[in-house]
Amino acid sequence: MTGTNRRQFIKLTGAGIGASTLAGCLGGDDGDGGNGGGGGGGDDYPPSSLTFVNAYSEGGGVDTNFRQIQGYFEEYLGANLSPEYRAGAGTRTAATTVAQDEEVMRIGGTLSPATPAAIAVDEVEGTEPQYTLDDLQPLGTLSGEAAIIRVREDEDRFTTIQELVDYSVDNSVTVGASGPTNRNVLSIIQLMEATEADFTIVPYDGGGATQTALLQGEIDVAARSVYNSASIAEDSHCLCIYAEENPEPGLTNDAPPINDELGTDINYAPSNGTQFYYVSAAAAEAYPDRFEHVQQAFKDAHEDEDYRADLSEIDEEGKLVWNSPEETDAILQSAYETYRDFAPLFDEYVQS
Amino acid sequence: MTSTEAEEGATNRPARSTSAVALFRLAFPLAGLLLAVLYVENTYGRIRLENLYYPYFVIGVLAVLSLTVFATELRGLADYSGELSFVESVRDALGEWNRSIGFSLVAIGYIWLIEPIGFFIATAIAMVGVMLVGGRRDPLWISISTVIILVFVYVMFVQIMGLRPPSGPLGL
Amino acid sequence: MTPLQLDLISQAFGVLLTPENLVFIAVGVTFGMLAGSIPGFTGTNTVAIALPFTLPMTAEIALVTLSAIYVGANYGGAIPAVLINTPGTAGATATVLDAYPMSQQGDASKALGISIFASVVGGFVSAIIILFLLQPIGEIAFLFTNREIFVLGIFGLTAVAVAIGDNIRKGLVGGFIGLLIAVMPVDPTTGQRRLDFGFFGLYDEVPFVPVVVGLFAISELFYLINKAAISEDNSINTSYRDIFEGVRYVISRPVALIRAMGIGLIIGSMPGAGTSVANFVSWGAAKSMSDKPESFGEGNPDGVIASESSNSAVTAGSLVPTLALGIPGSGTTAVMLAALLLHGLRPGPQLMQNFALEANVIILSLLVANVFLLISALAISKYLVRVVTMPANLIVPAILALTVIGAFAMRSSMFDVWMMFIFGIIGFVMRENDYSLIPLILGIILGPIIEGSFLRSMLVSSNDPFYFFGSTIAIVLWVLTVLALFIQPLSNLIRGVIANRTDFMN
Repeated sequence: MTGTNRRQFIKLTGAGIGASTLAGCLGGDDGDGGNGGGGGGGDDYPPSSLTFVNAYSEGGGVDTNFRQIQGYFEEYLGANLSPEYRAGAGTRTAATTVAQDEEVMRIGGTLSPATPAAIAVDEVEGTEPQYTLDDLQPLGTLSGEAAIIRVREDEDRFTTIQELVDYSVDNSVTVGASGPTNRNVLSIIQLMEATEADFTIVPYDGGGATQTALLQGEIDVAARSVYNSASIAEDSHCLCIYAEENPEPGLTNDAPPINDELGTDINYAPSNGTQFYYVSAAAAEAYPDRFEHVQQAFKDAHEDEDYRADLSEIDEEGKLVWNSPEETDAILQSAYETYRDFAPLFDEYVQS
Repeated sequence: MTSTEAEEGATNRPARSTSAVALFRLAFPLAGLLLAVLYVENTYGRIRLENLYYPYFVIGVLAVLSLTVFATELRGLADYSGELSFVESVRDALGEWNRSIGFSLVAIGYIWLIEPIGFFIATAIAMVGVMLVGGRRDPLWISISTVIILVFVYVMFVQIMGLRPPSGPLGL
Repeated sequence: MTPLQLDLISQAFGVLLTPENLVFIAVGVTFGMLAGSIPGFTGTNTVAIALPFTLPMTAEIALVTLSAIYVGANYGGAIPAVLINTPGTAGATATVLDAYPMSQQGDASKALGISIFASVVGGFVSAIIILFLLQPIGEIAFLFTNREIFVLGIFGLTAVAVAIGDNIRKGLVGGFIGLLIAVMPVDPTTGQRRLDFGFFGLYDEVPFVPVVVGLFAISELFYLINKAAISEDNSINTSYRDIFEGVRYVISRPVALIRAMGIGLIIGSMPGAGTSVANFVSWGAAKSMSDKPESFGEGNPDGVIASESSNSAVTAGSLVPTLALGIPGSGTTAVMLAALLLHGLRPGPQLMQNFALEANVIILSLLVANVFLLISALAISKYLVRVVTMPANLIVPAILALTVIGAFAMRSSMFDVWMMFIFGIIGFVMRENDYSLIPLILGIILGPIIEGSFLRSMLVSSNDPFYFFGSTIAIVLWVLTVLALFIQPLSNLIRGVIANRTDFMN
């Protein structure tokens, strides 16, 4: 695939995600009011406890977000949520575990594009995926955060994204990201495709390690996201954001949208991280009342004023993004298609 | 590292065949080399060679080291004269380690049964099985210790820690 | 230490020493100890399980409780290591090497006493050190980039390989098979799958807890099923007298304690250095520097001190990057950072500036938790020791059931249970053929750290091999590695020459 073709492709494939994300942010009231707590879907459902299958490990972003909403979700659900950590294999382990549930007893929490991307990567590599998007029934999205680019606070070689791009043309610049094939790497690949920028991508074992490497001076730039890099907001400077508008100027030095600064038309959607909850599609189909109950409880918890006040206290309310199950499905589908076509780019930029 | 009754009993046994002893002594490095061969077969040509330098370096050193161990072990066996045939040696080893082998079979059955019949039922069966293999025959002790362990596991893991081990058709 | 810092510490003591907090510390230590003693159940699991219970508490009480659980779980791993050859946590693996032979020889009470007191002193003194030197230690730890972590990994592997020493070739074969197993999952810098046989359980990493439990515990069951009981001495004394004899032994070995603490504190402080390696390095150092290195692994009490004191110091050490830099020093401290966030405190490099009181409360809670650990562990030790005299045919099925649920608990994965059993068979074959288990485990634990840090260093340096010699710390570590390789043979040579001359003169 030539460079020109790739650029065109990025514009085209991202559009689907962008449209659906936007639609999700604007609309999405498909329920019929709150349930108020407890009460099942026509049978003895829910039991006293359901399992929350976390696709990531203890103490990570999905875990923290789950702990924040857990009490409210349980209240509307009328059942306890017992967390089970099924980290690993690029969220495949957790997704497979939830997909095999037959009775809506497991609720999964994971990230897009990671989970749909795993299916795409397996298909491209010729590995039989253990689940498809048809096996997962989203409940909706919990949160979303745009990709950003951070440099150290005392960095004087480049203080704007334009200066970084220019500097990288003649100098070696290393960019760290959490993992070799994640959305933050994708955001850097997009930048290299859209400009003359030339970076060395250094994949780390998680976001914390990437940030440490940035502050230590091991790498020059960190490809991160708005909220998951908030802990180094005071020690670093954000050069740009991959979003039409900056939702958190306080956490990101009021960084401008990258396209506004560079005059590019990078599509923001593929690098936008969305946390979503889901159940087994087969179970949801077999027990539509149960699915409706769980979905409504999630939506009610998401809208709960006390929950939002809790987040507001720690300046994190801005991360909440609601998308209905159908809209979430469209986001996942788009992410899957995007990653199927992005595979050659990872091969070129990361594996070579 | 560990002295066992089995080892003590082994001192009075006839010497096993050289091939059987060699096979057992070389089992570990042979397993390592087999893994190395599988690794190369699975990755060579599929992944760029420049991304395989480190694992192939490990394999190269392992191969050299394994050869030196083979040489040492085989030199050690040069003066060894076995009294039993290969088949007799295997039979003799099975006799020496009969309880350990019985334990292994119960453990394999146990792990295999956990998902289809549920953790607690499988554990109860396995505990009884291992106690029988270990030579315990009194039903009272077998019952009491099985129940104590099952109750402990249930309270500690399921009730306090909220763990959900696989449950079978009976929900146990 | 400025007056402001002293004022903060006294304020933190005021917050900590309330009856409510002391009750939570006592409960936390006991719960942690119980959970940590279950083979395969890690400190991270235990703290994560307790996290929801701490959400309704105030931030200070929650952190104090989680710290107490951390301390309890860390020690809990030593109990099955001493009594049934099964490290409850990976940090207690080296404890097995000498503590279990002691138990087999009828010294279970003493071994337990040593493990308790070495652990408590290691944890207590390390907590005092980081209370006063958190910032400077944090600043040194901050200098450890992937380059230094790589050299540290090489040093760890070398130091232990040399210390094992009994059959260097077999040790190296085990170590390199461990390294080969460690490169089966995906490439850390390209994300390409390598040799995982299609199992998700091997996709990202080889889970070392089932490996460790399998190699030690399951392989031991193959032997134990043929025996009457764990202890060869049926008239074993289970009185407090023997337990306190262990305590007295620890007091008589201050140098061994300090060395082990130092190693634990240093390795624990390095983010990404793999905290479970500290106990091996400490054990290896103790063996190398001993007058009777051949007695290590056969029931030398100094081996128990080396392992237990260092892994307790790791607990305090892993708080250094956590509090000084806002970087989790271990899986458990990652959960504690999440707890901070859930209580409205955003952890980060500014944590010590923004939340100095809370940080001091956490460190001080380690001190108090270690005191409670001493009391509760000693109280139950007399009864625990009796395990070694119980009939093996009752102990074996109980250990099997607990190891199976423990291996399952970490990732709710039956794959891990099968892994544990397979490594049990591998462990049995290795033991029967005189292969040490330690190099294999070290290869599996250190493999990903060495490979990942090597590849990342090559990326940031544009494949410049001299980059690995580009900092003072890296050079010092290289020198230590060379010394580790040659100091023991040299020392043996010198001893041999002296002995020959003495014989000749006599």
